[in-house]
Amino acid sequence: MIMLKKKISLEDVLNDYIASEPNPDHAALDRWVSRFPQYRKELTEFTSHWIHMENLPPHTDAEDLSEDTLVLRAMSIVGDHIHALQSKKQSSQAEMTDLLTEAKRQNLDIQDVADLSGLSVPIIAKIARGFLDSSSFPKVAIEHLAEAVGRNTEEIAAFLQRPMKPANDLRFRAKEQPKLPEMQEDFFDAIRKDRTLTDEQRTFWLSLEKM
Amino acid sequence: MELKRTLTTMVKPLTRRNSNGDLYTRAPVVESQIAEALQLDPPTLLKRARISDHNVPGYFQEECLVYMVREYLSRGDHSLVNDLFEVLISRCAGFIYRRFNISNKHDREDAYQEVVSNLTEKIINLETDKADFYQVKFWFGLKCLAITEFGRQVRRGEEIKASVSFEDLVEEGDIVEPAMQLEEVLSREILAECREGLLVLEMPQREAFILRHFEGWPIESKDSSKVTLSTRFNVTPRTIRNWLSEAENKLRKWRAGREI
Repeated sequence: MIMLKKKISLEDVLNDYIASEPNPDHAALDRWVSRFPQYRKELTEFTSHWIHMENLPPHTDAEDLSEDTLVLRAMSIVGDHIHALQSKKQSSQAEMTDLLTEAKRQNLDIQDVADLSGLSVPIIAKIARGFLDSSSFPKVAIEHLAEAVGRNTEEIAAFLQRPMKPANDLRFRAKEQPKLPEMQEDFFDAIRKDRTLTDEQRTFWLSLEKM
Repeated sequence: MELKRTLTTMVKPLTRRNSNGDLYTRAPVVESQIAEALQLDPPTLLKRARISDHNVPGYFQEECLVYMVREYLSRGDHSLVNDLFEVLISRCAGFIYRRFNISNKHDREDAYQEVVSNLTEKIINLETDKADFYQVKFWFGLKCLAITEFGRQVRRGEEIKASVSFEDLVEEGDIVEPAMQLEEVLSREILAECREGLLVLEMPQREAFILRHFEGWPIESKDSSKVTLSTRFNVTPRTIRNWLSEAENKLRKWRAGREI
């Protein structure tokens, strides 16, 4: 039980504390300290700061910031954070080289990717190996794939332009590795031929062909 | 069209657990708002997000907005993320700023910006599920951040004044004549009158005074498991009594000054 309590983070305890106790009174503090003795010091400090904050009189500074200024300053901070996140992502994230490896990072297998993107396992397998002509992909398919594997549409579009690749991780019954197709297949032709898609899925994808 | 709806209405479940070890769960109204929001194209989503009156049909709660910020962040649409964040901030900027009744204007603004920064960090970090609580009880999460930052400001103020601590001025053996019975909590009438003068008190005496007289915290206790003022500040009960006496003397002078 003690080991379980240790794993509960202080942040979760404080969030639940403030959400559960309408007023930061001493009795409430005693209850929470007895539940989480490992956070006695932190709970006590937090409670005293909470009480302190609630009881101070409002400041009467005539030069207080307006709401518009508050929002502007906040958005400057938000923008900095998002920019930093983008930079970090660009520098640390490797170019997407394999669709199924990317999916695995999200704890998804090929069936999950198929379900999330509204395509079938055979179609996803063809996409992963570059068997489909990238220029034939409708925008919606790229968006669905991006959403499925957690990448943006530009990255998926770039990935789709990669050449065909053999299945290095598969074993074959034949003595020789199967040959790659002579040319890439059109996306909509692949949809038409795929018997594992439902009628609804096929109808949906083919409705995009003439767009 | 049905296919797209199936994909985009998949509301991702929360994964973080509360202090009882149970998974956090969103309110049903938030779940349905998220499911609805996921079906909207970005311009319509933004238009709906900008409805600021919660009584107007189509209003999206802050918990829903947090989800949508993270959703579009994962899709790489940073422009919409920025717009949605602006909506969220505009709803809570005043709330955050007003938490900090700190007399120093620069400290107040600094505290406000720290809370915004911490909130942003939690929401945009897709590698953790710390934003889950903000999809369940946004305003409590925000209040928690504000209190934590307030505490940081208080501690910083104490460090700055550490070279001239009250304990240096009042030795353990000194007897400070009490202005009134310190074992008794002051009456509500006197407290209401003193509230405005609290800022004349320095830390940590101010906090000790508030905890004692506004919340009735005991100075000491024979039960070592109980939280007291002495354990809170890690000083002896005598020191606490000295602080309280000094605080009351200062407030008495402040009240006298007002009456002139």
